[in-house]
Amino acid sequence: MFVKKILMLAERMQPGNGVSDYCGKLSSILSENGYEVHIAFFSGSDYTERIGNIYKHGISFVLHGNNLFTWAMMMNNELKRRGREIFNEHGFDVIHANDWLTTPAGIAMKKLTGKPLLVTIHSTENERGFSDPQSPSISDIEWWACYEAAKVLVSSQRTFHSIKNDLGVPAEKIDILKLHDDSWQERVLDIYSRALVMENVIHGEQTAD
Amino acid sequence: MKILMATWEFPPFKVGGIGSHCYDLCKALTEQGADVHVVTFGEQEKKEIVDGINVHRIPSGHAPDTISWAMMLGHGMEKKAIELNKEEKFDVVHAHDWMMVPAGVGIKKTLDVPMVFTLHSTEHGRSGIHDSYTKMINDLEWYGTYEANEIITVGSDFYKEVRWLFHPPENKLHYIPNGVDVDRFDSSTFSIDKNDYALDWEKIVLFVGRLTHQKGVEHLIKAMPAVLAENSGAKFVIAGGGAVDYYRGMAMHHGVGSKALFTGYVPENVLLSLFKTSEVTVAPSIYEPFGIVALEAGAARKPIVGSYVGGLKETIVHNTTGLHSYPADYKSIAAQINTMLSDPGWSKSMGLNGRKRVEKNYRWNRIAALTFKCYLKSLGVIE
Repeated sequence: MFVKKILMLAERMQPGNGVSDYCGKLSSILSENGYEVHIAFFSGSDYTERIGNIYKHGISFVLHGNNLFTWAMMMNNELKRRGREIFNEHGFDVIHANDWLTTPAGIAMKKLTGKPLLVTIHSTENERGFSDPQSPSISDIEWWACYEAAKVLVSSQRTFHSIKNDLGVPAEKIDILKLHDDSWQERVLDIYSRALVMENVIHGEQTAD
Repeated sequence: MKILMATWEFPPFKVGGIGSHCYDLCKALTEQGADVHVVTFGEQEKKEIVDGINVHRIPSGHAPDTISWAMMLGHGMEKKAIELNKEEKFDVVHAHDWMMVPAGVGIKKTLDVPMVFTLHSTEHGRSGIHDSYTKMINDLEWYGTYEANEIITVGSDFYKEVRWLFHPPENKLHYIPNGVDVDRFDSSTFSIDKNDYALDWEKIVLFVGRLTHQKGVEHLIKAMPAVLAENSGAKFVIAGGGAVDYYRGMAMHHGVGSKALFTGYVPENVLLSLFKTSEVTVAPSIYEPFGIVALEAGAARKPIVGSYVGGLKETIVHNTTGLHSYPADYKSIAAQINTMLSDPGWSKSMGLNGRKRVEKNYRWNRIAALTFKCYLKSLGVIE
């Protein structure tokens, strides 16, 4: 049986953190529906923890940054290493990166493996006020993420408009996915199966049921 | 062997010495049979082939400072590296200085290739670590030595500085000097018109380098009156970009404005001819991890007066290929220049010694072979 595998990238997995909860909810739904989910994220140390079909891969990283941008860009190199290792050991069919903090690694994995990239932008730098000296660089990273992604997922109309107007992304590329709406679980599964279809079309493989 | 060379500058885009170093190294490696690809900065994405070397220029992105710029550039270089790797896998990525640490580490981690890291200088030496920005550059240099499979330092004194600053394991720290393309000096036929630089009977005392504090230009300027007092036929030619107006003003302030010609940045053919036309070269640096200028003077068969610092300690053999002066000591610099100018026969023979030494130790084919051994070591092929 063809087990569909996901590489999910999050900056961190901590209870109470918005992106962590989002990844947690997605992973639950996906694993209940036959997906194997590998979440790679920054933690204090390198470890792998498996609960059912969900693997949590924490990565350590020793460099301090002079600001968040420097730290995140360099930390992504560890996500790239881990992603490559996960691909070699388990494989994955779709990559899902969360926010600019992990999209450099998402893009690297896409280019390395040829698998499609989904990107969730939880908010844009524009929405956050563009108030950092590094904001232009962060915005560039967001732009590149949307460019390389097969689909850009957002959680609100506001972000949808920011992605479309501030980053110039075509509306057809953006999907609004709110994790408290009715039938959001079906929507998640629909988004992922469409990504997998894209993958199969690219690679010409047949899914076996 | 397929080599990816990551350098922020590459000819014709040249600011410091890293661009020339990489060009000469890549050319020599190519001559020795390697398949060399350079990733470097360019305003627009462009591929060119230069003397058999594949050069891929990659733009950066919006960035408020050089560290952010280096991060964006790394992102772009990595995408190119992944693409190039698909045709045929790279065996090693060779990164130069802190600006290539984001690119080098990203490529290493994504493609699972060993990284060789060359340090040409350190932030600590260039400017000191005095705020969070300079500390970040220092940390990136450390991180490069941490993640590198092999580290190359370009001077034997500098090797000690890197060891003291970053404490890398000694088995991965190497000293490989810079080289000089002697053939380029010999084959360059362009001749400057000396009248553009000095009067017929004047003897040119040449400074070559970017006009920055670490190159010690102010000490040379302070030495000029004492030199001119004893050797009125001396004419100083200061060839390099950087803070030209500042130092020109300083020379005028010291009353030597008419005897010091500041040329600004000069193209290579002019530079080679200036070396050959000069009487002596001066390198009054206060920080100099290597100092290619000493090799260039030797290639041109000219003697050199250089500070007893860093790489100049080894590239100049005192009383044989040139004279050492005390760093930041204008009286010492003046005394040594005067000694040279007062005995042209002896100076000339020191120049010839310099040439022989360069031919024996600093040709690029030898430097490339040593570097190639580093690559093999990073691959675990040799110990």
